[in-house]
Amino acid sequence: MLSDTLFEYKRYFIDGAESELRAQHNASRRVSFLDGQMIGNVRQDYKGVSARVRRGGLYGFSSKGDYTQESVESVLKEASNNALFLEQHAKPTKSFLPPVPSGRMELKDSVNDPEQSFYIELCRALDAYIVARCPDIISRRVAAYSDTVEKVITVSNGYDAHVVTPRSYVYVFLTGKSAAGMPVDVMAVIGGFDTIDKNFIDLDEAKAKVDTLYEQLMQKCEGVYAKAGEAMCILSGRMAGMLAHEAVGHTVEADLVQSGSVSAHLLGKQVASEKVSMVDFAHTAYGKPTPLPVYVDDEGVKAEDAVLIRDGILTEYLNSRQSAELFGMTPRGNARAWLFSDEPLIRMRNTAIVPGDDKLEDMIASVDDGYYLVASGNGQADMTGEFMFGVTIGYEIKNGKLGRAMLDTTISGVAFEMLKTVDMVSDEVEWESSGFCGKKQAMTVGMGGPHIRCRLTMGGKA
Amino acid sequence: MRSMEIMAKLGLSALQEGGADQTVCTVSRTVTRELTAEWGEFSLYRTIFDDSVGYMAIVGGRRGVLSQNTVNEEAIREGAANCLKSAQAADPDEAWQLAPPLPEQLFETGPLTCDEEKLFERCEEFLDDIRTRFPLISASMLTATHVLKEGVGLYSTGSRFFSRRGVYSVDLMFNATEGEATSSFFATSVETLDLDTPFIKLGSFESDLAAISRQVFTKAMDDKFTGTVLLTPDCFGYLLATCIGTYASDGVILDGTSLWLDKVGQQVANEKFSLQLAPLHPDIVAGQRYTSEGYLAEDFHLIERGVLKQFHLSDYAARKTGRERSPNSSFGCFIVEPGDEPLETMIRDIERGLVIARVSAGSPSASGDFSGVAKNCFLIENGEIKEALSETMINGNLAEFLMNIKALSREVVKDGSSVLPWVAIEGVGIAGK
Repeated sequence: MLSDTLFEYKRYFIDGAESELRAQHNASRRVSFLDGQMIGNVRQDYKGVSARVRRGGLYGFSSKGDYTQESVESVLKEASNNALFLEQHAKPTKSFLPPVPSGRMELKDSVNDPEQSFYIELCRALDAYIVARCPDIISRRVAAYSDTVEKVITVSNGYDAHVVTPRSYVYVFLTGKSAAGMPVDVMAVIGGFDTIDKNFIDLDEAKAKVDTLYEQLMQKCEGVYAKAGEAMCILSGRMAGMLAHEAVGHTVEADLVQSGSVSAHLLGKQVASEKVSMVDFAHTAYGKPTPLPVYVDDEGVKAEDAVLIRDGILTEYLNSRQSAELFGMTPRGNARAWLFSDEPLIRMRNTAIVPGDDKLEDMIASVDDGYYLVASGNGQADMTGEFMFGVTIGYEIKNGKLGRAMLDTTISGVAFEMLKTVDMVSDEVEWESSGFCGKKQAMTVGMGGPHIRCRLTMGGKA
Repeated sequence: MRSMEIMAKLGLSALQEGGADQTVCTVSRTVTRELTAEWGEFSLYRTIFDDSVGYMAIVGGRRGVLSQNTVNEEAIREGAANCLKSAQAADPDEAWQLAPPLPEQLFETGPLTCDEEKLFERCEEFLDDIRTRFPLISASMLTATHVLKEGVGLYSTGSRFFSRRGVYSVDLMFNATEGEATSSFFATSVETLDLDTPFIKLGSFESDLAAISRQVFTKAMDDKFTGTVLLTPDCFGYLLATCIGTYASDGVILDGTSLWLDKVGQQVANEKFSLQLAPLHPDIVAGQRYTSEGYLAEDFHLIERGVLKQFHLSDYAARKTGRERSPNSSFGCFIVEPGDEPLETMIRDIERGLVIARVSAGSPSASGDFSGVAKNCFLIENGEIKEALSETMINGNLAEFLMNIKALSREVVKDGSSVLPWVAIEGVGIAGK
């Protein structure tokens, strides 16, 4: 564990400036197997200390890859000099930021760091299960991955904190062959918050997921291309979560709003049907911890939920302390940095569409001709709200019943137009947290939602 | 450099004394200086001092890899012990091997110190150029960086690599706005060895800023047709990287799912098309000099006059499959031979299609079937560039895209990490809303 001595170094903060110090350790472990052969076996540890100093609204930042009194003094001095350089060369105009509540939060339960052999045995066991249960595949990949981020933060105004966030996953990729002899693949992820030894005490959930995935692969091998053009679709909770993150969440990040994103002129306006509400949860949702809880951000702001859309109305942006001042909003703990050497940026945490009261079976039964979109490979969106997701598992819906599986396709749309077409929202939430969001730096994020019924543009071939 | 060599020696010895048959220990030190301006105003100046140690150990054919950024005697011994533990838990595989020994190598390139005053001046000038010449542009984030990386790589074979390399890079993220309307965002990057040239003259900054300025107001097309797409050099690079990942990289050759598995020596692209991966090319400013296995990097043709010459394979994948190792392992450094037509003529020859600067797409399937949103694009009709479009999708197959290359431009963009022309590809599915 990192030492709490950082809290004592607040005494080196310079008068007349706003300062942050952060000591951080990122540990990641990965083992991967391809067709039974181990092709990756890697451990990475990055730790160090950084300082950010704000003078006249301009930031200086510096970091070093060790955590000692000497390095703390050094990064504070360098960050201060950098802020001074900007003050002398650019035009400082801004004053001190409005104060935020202060205190200290320590959530630093010791976490295990299992040896690499644990990851290897986990992959071997799951690989053996795939060999036994999936006779018609032509290739398989299994990977076990974990990362743990530990931070000690001390600030001139705000919360000091010592927090640890572990997460761990197993990834399974299966490849089969279509009737035309073309390779067809599917992927599943199992895991979430916590260390790998706790998430995989047994393999029951992972094995059940492999069985489902194999069934989906065999259906996809017989699959058809989607018909290009607009269609009625039901998105799974995971895909609705991706929509919440990519197509809405990014456009309400205050830095993108400042650049003129589509949300810049829509605050207080109807951007979705009344059935849609969306929240960027901090650490607790529906009485349970979120997949990746954030209690204090890297500017020392105590984290709380940000309600982005309430009953279809856009209500709030995601902010840093500086952007919150600009927009006259309350910072809610969205300024986050990935490595010790990264500066905090405005990032989402656990962004989700709020569940409704429809049942999935009723939603499927309500569609005469459309698609049920289950899993996505990746997704992107831009500041106009135009989005694209790759769909890797999906089915036709014909006359209220699930039909043939689909081959890979892409869906697209414009978020605030598409969300106005949402007319059914299911009563459960499905979370996803295994990937990284990219925005200058990587960042772990959770995303989730219920099933939603909406109209989308399919990028099929047929 | 001397202190890094001492630490690398310590790591190498610890791995060898721990029983490793083949080992590598690398130690590096990176100093990054980075100026950031947001929305046209300076906002942040960062200096990052980072050390790094990398270990690789093979024990009886079992391989472990570890990296950390704490560099002192105790941490290095602990890291080596963890790397050995990791290797010992692995499966044996004789395909993990190091390169034969080489004479000591020293690589020194680029500016080793950062001229921060000049860097600031060039940024100010760039922001001023944008404001003056492209008034609709919102420069969301400009970052100008100098990186100095010094490193030592010691191999149990006796190979010793020393490097000291400096490079400047300029990254601009931007969009165009008018009233409440905005274009899609766009990003352009350049790497350079000096600050002699105004940034606006580097790479594709000027043409990208001009194009995005014309994309504030877009139309959603309601048509569906098969046409020709003209990809900008940067977008062409994205397509090539996706093709290599889908058909010519370790994973798909090892698992045998690549559609190009038996195509070495055969035509996989139009004969006008040749692609080199060339980290030593004079227009590549920070290319790879040696591989992690200890081979000196060399340039090579992946595709020459449309014929697949070899795959992009690591030494491990090459040994596993009995195929040829790539002479370098950098993913990028693309050099595509220009064509003989001016860009203007290429546009004039397109009856109906799109100019596309960015594609937002999912990972293509193993077959290369591909669909995505054409971002930052214009309609072309009867040889003329018309209005900017939104909500337009393209689809097809990556392998077919390469076969259907119609023309390559005489003009190229050099951004320090690639040299690429514009490309026209026929027979692409284009669908509006």
